[in-house]
Amino acid sequence: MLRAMRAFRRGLIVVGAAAIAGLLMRVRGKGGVPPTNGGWRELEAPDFR
Amino acid sequence: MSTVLLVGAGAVGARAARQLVETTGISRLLIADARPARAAEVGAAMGERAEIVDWQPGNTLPDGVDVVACAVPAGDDVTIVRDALDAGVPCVSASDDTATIQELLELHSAARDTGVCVVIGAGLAPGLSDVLVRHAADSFDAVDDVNVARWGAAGEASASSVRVALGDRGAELRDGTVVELRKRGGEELVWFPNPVDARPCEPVGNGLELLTHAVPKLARGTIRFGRADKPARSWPRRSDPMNEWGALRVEVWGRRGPAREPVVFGAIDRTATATGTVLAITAAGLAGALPTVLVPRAGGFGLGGVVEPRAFLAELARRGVKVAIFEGVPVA
Repeated sequence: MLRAMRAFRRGLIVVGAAAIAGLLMRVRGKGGVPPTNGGWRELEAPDFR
Repeated sequence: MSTVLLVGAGAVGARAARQLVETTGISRLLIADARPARAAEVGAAMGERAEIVDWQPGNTLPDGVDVVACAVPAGDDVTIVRDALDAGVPCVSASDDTATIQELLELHSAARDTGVCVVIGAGLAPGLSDVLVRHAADSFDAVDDVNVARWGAAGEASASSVRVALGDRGAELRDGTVVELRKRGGEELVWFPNPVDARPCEPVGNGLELLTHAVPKLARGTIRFGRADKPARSWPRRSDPMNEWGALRVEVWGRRGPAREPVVFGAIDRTATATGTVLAITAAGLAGALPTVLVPRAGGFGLGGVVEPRAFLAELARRGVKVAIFEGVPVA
């Protein structure tokens, strides 16, 4: 019973640490997501926009 | 009317020669190559404006040269640029080799003191990538992040540079300083225009310093190269294994007012053709034959530091090298 409790507690610590690490990565992030849906359009003169 | 000395008649040099002899304002093209037979072959195909010269790096420039264009294996560029500086003649190099680019940048003071413009890395990337970065930067209030990716190698020398770059640890630009990565890796799937599409690319240091010429005080910049398949493994083998598609993707993040947005440009062409065309337009710009494409200054600069992006892109499009923009929506 004691061993099961210890394993359960360790599991909780691991899950908690993973959640904190995930949260930190999400907060820090790169600040944006590049476009992924769409297509290429040829640029045309005179502005090439 | 101007005279250009083109050193190197390989994959890139031959394409650059074609573009130069078809440029109004270039009256004479002198071609030199370490392999005289190759120079003669290219020269014969270029018509009466082209002339073969027996010239080696380290010698005095031939009389009447207005601009020197280099399409040579890594390392030779430095000697040739020194020769050009000794003669007080503007010069452009298509090298994409890290060590060569850094050595050429060290000649900045000498070029500035001589009053001569030296353009460094006038190829696909570095080169066209710097033009596109500068073009994107012109549409932002401020740019903070630039990510360039290139697929393809223009000739044997370029393929060798790619191999060396991918064997190294790679680097990235942080607050204007090139920082070496701790270990090799960081492979990322990059989406180029069709038909190249998605290719794995790894971070390299080739031309990172030149990004700061396009965007001074850039906070973060990366350049990635794709690892090309070994031609020997394909079957049946191509007669010209280097004449493959090359592609470029330039992602620039910046602010317009309060919003932070990306602009993604792409280009696709035969790698040697695109590289040779960029080299030829730059040489013609330095010679004054295409006066609107560059704003030359004394010193050594990447293309992003001296280019007039719209005029350069217009000239590029006129010669068949087209650029595209990715129109999409961010998906979180």
